[in-house]
Amino acid sequence: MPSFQMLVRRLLLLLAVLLCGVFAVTPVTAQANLSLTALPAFDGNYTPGTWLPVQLDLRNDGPAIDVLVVAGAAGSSLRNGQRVELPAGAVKQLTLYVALDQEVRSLVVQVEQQNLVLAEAELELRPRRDERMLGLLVASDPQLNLPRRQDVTTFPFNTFLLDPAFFPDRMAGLSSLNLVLLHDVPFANLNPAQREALIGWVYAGGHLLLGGGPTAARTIAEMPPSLLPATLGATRQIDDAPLVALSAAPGPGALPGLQLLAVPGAIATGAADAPAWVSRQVGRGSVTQLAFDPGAPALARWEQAPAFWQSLLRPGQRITTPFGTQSTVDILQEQTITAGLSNLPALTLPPVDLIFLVLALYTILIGPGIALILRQFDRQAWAWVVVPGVAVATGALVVGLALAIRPEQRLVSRLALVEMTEPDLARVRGFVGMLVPQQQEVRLATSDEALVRPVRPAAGVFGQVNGVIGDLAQLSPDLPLPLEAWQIQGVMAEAHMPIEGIRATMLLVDGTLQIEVVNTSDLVLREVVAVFGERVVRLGTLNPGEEATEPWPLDPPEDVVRNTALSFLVLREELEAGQGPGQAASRNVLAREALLNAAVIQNNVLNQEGPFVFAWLDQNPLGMQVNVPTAVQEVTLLALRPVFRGSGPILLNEGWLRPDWIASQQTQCFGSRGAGVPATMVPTIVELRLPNELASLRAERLSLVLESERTWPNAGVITEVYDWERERWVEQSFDGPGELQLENPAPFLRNGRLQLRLDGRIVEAGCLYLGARLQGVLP
Amino acid sequence: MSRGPSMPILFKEFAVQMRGSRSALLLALLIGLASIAARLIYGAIVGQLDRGAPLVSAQIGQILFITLSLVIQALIVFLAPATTVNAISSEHERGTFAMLQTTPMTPIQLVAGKLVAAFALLLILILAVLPVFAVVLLFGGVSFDDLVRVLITMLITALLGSVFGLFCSAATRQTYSATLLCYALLISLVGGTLLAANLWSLLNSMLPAPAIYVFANPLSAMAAALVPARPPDIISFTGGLRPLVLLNLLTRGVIDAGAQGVLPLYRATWMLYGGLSLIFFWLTLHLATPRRRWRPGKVDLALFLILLGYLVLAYGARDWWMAGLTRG
Repeated sequence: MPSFQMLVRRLLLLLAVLLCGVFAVTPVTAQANLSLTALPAFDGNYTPGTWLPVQLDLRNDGPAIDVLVVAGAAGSSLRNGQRVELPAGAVKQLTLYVALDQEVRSLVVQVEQQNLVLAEAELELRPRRDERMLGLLVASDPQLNLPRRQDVTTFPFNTFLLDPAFFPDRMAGLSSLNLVLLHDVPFANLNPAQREALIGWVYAGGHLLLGGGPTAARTIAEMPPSLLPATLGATRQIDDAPLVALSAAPGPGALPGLQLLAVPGAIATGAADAPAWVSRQVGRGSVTQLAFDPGAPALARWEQAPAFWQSLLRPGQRITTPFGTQSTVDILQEQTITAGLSNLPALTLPPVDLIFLVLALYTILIGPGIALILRQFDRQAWAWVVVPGVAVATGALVVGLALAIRPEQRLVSRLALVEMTEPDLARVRGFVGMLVPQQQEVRLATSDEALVRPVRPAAGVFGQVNGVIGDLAQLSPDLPLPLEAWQIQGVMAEAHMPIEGIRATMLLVDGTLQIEVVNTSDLVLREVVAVFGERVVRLGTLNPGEEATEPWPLDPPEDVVRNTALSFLVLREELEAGQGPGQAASRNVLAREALLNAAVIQNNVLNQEGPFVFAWLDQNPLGMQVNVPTAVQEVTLLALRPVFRGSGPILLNEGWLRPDWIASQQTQCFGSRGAGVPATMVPTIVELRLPNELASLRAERLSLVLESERTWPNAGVITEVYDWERERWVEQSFDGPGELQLENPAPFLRNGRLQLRLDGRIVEAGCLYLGARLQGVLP
Repeated sequence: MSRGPSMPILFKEFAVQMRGSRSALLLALLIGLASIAARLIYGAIVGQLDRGAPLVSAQIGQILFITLSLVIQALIVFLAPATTVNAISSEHERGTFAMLQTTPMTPIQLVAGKLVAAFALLLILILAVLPVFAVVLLFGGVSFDDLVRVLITMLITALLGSVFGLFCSAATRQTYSATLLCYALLISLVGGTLLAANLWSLLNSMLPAPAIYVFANPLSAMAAALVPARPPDIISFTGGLRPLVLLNLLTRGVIDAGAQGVLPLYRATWMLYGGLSLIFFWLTLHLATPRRRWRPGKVDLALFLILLGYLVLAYGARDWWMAGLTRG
């Protein structure tokens, strides 16, 4: 039947068209000469909002080619890529870092040449949100007896064996992990980049565990002292009391191990002469050094081991982010700085005075000028011709001038946060926000050491900031960025870089504290400022080779309330100038405020208190220059923590021993004197803490300053302070509010910590303001 | 040399317009005020360029354009009648009107000649002020359409203003009375409509007033014509200079039609002013006629046909201009 044949023909034609369409969409060309093997880190497990390293093996048995290796979640508009030169017969191994914000289960890796796919691999992923990601950098699996997923209610464990050869050489590669156990693998065996990555990861909030036992010395060899909580002593039997305390059950018995000698500022847990472990805070993260072998058979056999590990293996900090709970503040920092990108620069104004001068002359000429001239010749009627002629000529002149000196319409805001993680090493994160009047492509010149990704959308004060869309080549000095018109779009880049010669020290000299900043780098440090305890010390600008020392104020300024934001303390003058009627702070100040807030952010409500030293740099160390003419605003903040040096008697007035909101698990209340601790019906327990570097201070005189927003009850308030030696609360006779002098204060202050418990009618006091004055000796 | 029917009076008016110092002063006043306004607004922008909401180059251009257009429109509103308010009354006052009647010149020649000469002066004024607008090109942000819309609004306002001045002059035959009548009505129109719109808004929970309240207002028409030139909405305007506030104030918010976009109020104003110009011109013709003033003639028939044609045109284009009066 003709009609049936026609139908079959049409169907075949349609099928052919569809097949053509399919092949047109996925132009995969079988390239027999090129092979690709891809392996995701952590067995494909990753935390959304982090970077996932993918190990790639490329083999080219054909002629030499240049290819682009890209990886991205299926259907995502964002792919991370890297250009690779493949000579004939080359075998190349490389790590591709892929930014993964979505919860995806597959990742497509492609090798492309001129939009033609030469090889492709699909990897299986497992997004892990709100889970404990533990990397085991160990010689052999220690068989940790960890709690099973079904036995815990939150934060289940995920463990991965990390191969030292493929250990990420960038901090971003570790961003999925909360915990790393380093045991029986010498730190010295890691290459410098891997070491820097590990140190940077700890500084940013990671929790590093160092295994003890007979191989401990080998493990920590060449580890920087700033990372180590303790030095090693003789072989000892380690009492299991601390393990019992964490598991609340009979212990495994004494474990063979090494004596740990805690460094100043570190907290030892267990017997004073042979603690079971020692911890110290490093930046935002922490390091825990075990005295015993974590893979000890007795520990593996111990029934309560899961409860013990559950308590000990905690992330250094738990930060609530849009991607779940994470152990770094990276995402919060990114949000804060990205929002700060909306503080775009002011236009570079053209020299308009010339134009207005022309217009002034024109006004004189076209009015009285022409009238007088024509009157001289008695030809006033000619004005009908002369006036339009002069107007047209002047118009042409002004138009020409205007076009010649027209200002640049592209605006670029460049913000960067440089955080010193080691004395000569810094983590640099740069952000660029761009606003262009027409859709166009610009090129970004940045460090070829930097990983680049689009910023996540954030609402700034002056508009929404969105990420750039498209492929982003990694580790490339020159990136094409497609930009839409009238949208603030941005990218961010991060890298670890050596920055040598900048030191900040808090010196104890003759019983008084001084802050000293030395700049032997080639950078100019502008408006150097040290901040802590509501005190601000300004050291001015330090040129290369200069240093400055200023005494640390004994008391905070009277007009500053407790827990005032550090950014406000630093930028007080500028911000207050913008608060008057009809005034506004300059956008440069707002951009600086955003960077300061990002540098100290702790979580959504709390900030780190320091001490910090801040300085403004002239340039972003990552470059991040846009290749077209633009009006640019560049703000780069250097943040570092001063080290303490000195010994002897010391007097610390209010502001040093201050509430530790995180340890106390307290919310804040705000009253007329700033932030305080809300009194509750149940006993209010507050931990007050000294900065880590002063943790070894031996108190000789200590008076607590207890005040409240409402009237302190004249009876029925029970005031207790925890005695660390006798391990019990000691009731104090206190007729508040005011100073509570502690007799023999040494037992109440241990490792720089003091615990206060208020019970009874204290709830009537409302918001509590707690402080302390302290006199003691720093060993 | 052959001259048209209006030529004698037109040439005389052309010569008179430029003979005195009035034209020179008008030119200096208009251009000087426009330049000062541009410089002041530019200074205000510069003063807060790095504070508050960031301004892109185009936005500065738009702010300058909006300010200049409103200033010049305000000047035209009051200058246009001034060019004709004594055109006929001064002939009466000097006693030359009776002499003109002895000439073969018809009333239409007289009125049209006076009107064309006055309107030509206004055209010269508008042309002379254009170099000040060129400052806007320094920053961009204004399209050719924006400029055309603003120029049409200025021209039609100038036309109605000069016809209305002529009408007052012919109606009162005294320059003093004509000026008083003309400016009293003008101020009532400009201030009264805005007052009425504000009162309506106050009595109706601060809702935008109906467009009918302000469409006859020349400043509202200019504000509406300027709205499409407003800065892009991508950048938030939480602080700093807010030209839209001024535009909304002049139009009591009728230009902001939400999802419908911008209400083209100015189209209705153009149609109204065109029609009113014809009617006032017609009335002035009769008022300038010495005898049997209201007796219809051939000119009336012609003007009637023109007005009829205009009404037919307005009816045909009703969707176009009524869009400025109806909110979606």
